Amino acid sequence: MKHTLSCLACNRPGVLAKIARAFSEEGINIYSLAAGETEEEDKSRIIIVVEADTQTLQRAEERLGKIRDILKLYDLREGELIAMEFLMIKIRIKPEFIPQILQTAELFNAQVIAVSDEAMVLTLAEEEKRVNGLIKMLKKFEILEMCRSGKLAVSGVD
Amino acid sequence: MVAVSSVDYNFGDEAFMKESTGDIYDMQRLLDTVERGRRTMAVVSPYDRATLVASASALKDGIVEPILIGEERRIRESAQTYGIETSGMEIVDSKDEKIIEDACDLYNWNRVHFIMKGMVGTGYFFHIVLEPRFKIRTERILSHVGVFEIPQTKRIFLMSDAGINILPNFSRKIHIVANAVEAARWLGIGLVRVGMLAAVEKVNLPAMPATLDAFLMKKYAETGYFGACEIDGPFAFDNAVDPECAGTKGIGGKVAGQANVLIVPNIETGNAIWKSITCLQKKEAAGVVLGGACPIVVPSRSDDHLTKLASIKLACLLMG
Repeated sequence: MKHTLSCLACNRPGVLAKIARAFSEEGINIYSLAAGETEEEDKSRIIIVVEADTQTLQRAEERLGKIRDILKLYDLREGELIAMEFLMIKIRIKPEFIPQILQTAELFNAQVIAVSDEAMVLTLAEEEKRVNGLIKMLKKFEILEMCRSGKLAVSGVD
Repeated sequence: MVAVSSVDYNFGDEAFMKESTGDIYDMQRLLDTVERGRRTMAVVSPYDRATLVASASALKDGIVEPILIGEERRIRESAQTYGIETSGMEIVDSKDEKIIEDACDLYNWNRVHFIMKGMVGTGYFFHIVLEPRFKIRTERILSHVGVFEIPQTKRIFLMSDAGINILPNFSRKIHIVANAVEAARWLGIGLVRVGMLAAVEKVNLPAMPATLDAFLMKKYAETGYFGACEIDGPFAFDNAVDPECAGTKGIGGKVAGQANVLIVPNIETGNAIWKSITCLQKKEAAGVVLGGACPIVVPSRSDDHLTKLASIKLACLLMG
């Protein structure tokens, strides 16, 4: 089962390595990881998506709890979080596919942010499902390069 | 969403291009090439002077037989007020939305070759004309193609779309370009040079999405979809029509400064260019809506009779 963990940690060197080690020691694979500054400059929010059963995750959480630099740790449940992912994808331009590429981009509300004779770069900030959908549709064309931010999430507003 | 590949256009062929001499220099001469013939046209709600005068002139010139559709009493009163002879024109007495339906029925029954709009709103007009029960709708997208002359440039221009598509996406623009290129070929322009208009010559994202469409249209033309024609862009208006401006800015290519088909990014741009030519320069212009089974003459209600007559002639030319 996939879990989305929101970790508030001190913005210090080595913290990320300690977190990664905690998961590694429990044999948990990190599915995605997005880290960045929070509203307080000295703190980082790290959103980690892992796939693990409840018991194994619990053990990993206990390990994380022992790291002094980690201030808070939440297991955000679906329905309790607002989540989004950011995608940048570079597609090779073949003239005959231009209408389909643009129609696909329009369908997903993706933006073309750069273009050349050879390639165009599209971006999308959306729910993971829609990001996956866009990638699936664009696979019909030639994907030259792709970069995903990993899930970004905050707790719900209710 | 319209599948681009499912729509067939007739862009002529290489042989056709070689027969043709290139640009057309004189708007009046172009319109005068309309041959006399037994064509018929349904005129919807012809209550204004300009529509009645244009219809009567077209009849007098022997290029088309108008069938006037509307409230007969009102048509006769208007004609009398403006001193227009209607004796040679058939009048079909009709009322409200039935007027447009009657015009479309005449088309369905092959009684008329095309339709012209008089004193009725464009949106309402097309709402009825495009109903599937009438044979006017096709798989193509409708777009307005305007033809006008700028004497300094010594050639006529086709411009699209200043009247139907508000903010077309790329797929719609493909059909707009296709309708315009096809019209240019029908008019006898040999070297069709399409300038995709924007405000600058370089792609500027995300601020100016029209520049992206223009750039990609040029790429898409490499597939040969539009037949033998040159498509380039983005261009600012001056760099598309004036070789000197294009030269000054160092913009090269076969279209820069020499475009004869202008594709505007949205209806606001098209309307502003169209009105600045017809309203401020008082230049003769003609416009029809293409993409249907027949050309549809949809002048602005405020257009004068010369513009309306020119549009009727243009429709005749584009009927082949």
